[in-house]
Amino acid sequence: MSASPSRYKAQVRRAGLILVSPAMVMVFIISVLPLGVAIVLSFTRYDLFTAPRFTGISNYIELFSDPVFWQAAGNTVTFAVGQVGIGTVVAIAVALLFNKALAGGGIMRTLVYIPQAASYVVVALLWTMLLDPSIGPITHAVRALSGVQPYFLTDAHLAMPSIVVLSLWRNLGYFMIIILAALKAVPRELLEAAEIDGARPAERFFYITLPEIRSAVVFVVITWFLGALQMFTQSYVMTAGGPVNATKTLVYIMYEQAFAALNIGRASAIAVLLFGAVVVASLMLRLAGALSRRAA
Amino acid sequence: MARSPGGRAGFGWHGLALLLAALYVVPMLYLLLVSLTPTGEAIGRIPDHLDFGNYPAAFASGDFGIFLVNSVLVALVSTAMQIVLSCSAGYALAKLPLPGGNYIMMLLVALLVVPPEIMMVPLFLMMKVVPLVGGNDLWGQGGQGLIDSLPGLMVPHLVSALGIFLMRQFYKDLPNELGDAARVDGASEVRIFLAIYTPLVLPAVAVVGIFAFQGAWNDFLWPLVMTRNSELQTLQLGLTVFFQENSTQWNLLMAVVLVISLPVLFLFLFVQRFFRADVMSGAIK
Repeated sequence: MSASPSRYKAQVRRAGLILVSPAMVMVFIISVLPLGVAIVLSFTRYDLFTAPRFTGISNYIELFSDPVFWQAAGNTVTFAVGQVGIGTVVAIAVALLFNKALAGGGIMRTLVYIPQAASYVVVALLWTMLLDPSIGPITHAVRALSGVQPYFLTDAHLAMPSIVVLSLWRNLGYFMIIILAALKAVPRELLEAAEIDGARPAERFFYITLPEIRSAVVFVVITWFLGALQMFTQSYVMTAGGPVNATKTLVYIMYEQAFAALNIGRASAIAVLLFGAVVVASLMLRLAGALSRRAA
Repeated sequence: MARSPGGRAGFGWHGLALLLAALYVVPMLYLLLVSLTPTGEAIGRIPDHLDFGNYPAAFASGDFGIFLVNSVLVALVSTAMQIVLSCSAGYALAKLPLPGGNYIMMLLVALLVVPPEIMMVPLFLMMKVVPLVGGNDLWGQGGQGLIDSLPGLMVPHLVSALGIFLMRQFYKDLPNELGDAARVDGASEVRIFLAIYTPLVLPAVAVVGIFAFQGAWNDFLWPLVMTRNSELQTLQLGLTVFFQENSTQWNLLMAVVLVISLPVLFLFLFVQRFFRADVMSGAIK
């Protein structure tokens, strides 16, 4: 035997520090430091060319009195709540469907999952074509059925709902698979016992299945919702934030403030507010998840 | 047919499933059809002949060749780096005594919910003042730093809290006795990490690698912010610019859309079996 236990200890501790340090330095540079920079800059006026000037909370006051900010905040919430609210129900329904013994179920499941591999740019361009007012097949179908020519991306009432639908179309597969994995883990004896006791399908779902898959559903809602709060690409590619700001999100106006208006201070204030919203939303969703566990 | 926990499925359920599958297959087939429609023919009809020449034509128009090289470089380097950092830090957090290890874990879990988009503006400013590159002096002044450079495009993808967190979960599930026995035999710490534990978590490495590749390959906002020079654009950004300038060339556009989606798609199908069992449970735990 070559080394004493105390030498192991020093050796093991040194190895740990060496292995963990590079990653933590990178995490600090990419995630922690920028947050600090954003907080500091949010209290300044800065245009990239002249030195930042401290202006107190004026960026926040200006934002709160800017109707476009409130519109973007509203659009972001509409997008996130719309997509995740409808999406979670659809994902559970589709997972229940694929949990049955279907001929060709594996292939169909893969098909639903495929768009998940594509970027938002790709999905946005595909749907821009599908919804195009002159060559879009969805436009043709709706016109043939209703007799009205729809302008999905240039009608202020249709643009955001269209983006919700195509985002849901892309993301459904990933979240459905997570719920499906949870469904497969529900003990079959429970369901069979309930069936023998005469529980109807709806009762079996609400009293057995749903409580059993609860943690997967909570995970899906949190992950999906926080992801949806960052929406940018679809609006940038499909509508350029229009028509009349109808699809501008918080990330969109942050980008505009920073790189079109060169108002770094105000863009940083938006980043800080968005960060606060993410923290509050994730804590609230976690709390709701914990409460549902106690209620069940 | 195997009996599944959800029960046998009749005609009605099959009909529903087919309808759902159609919602996915029809747009994808339509995309394929448009990408093969000869230039000048009406989009959306079955063309007289399929024009496979759209694919080379699309990649010859604009700078798609350069964009492809940029995207491949950014995605591969980011993926390699993220795998190395996720494995080393994940292993250390799972298996080695670290001062403050609990705090590091708390930080990583907190960062899991922070969207990278929020960091875009300050990170851009930080890239501008990286010292001694892009014409900058020692104090990061005078030039453009890492803006308009391939390393600059890679930066946000080099490490991920999720990658470290996932690898830590997988290393943690392995028994400590493996390492202890090797130490008694005189194995070095590096050897224990690389030759004993890491081969046992290769499926997880594949999953972390694919998430990293997908993140870098599909990213749009960061390249949009970071590139002024069109020669440094990636495929996703170059495609968007091409669309904004030639919005009616649907056949060429859809050819590019299809081709640039294939790498991640193949990787996904390749590791599909790891996706369900491993990651999902690890992520939910």
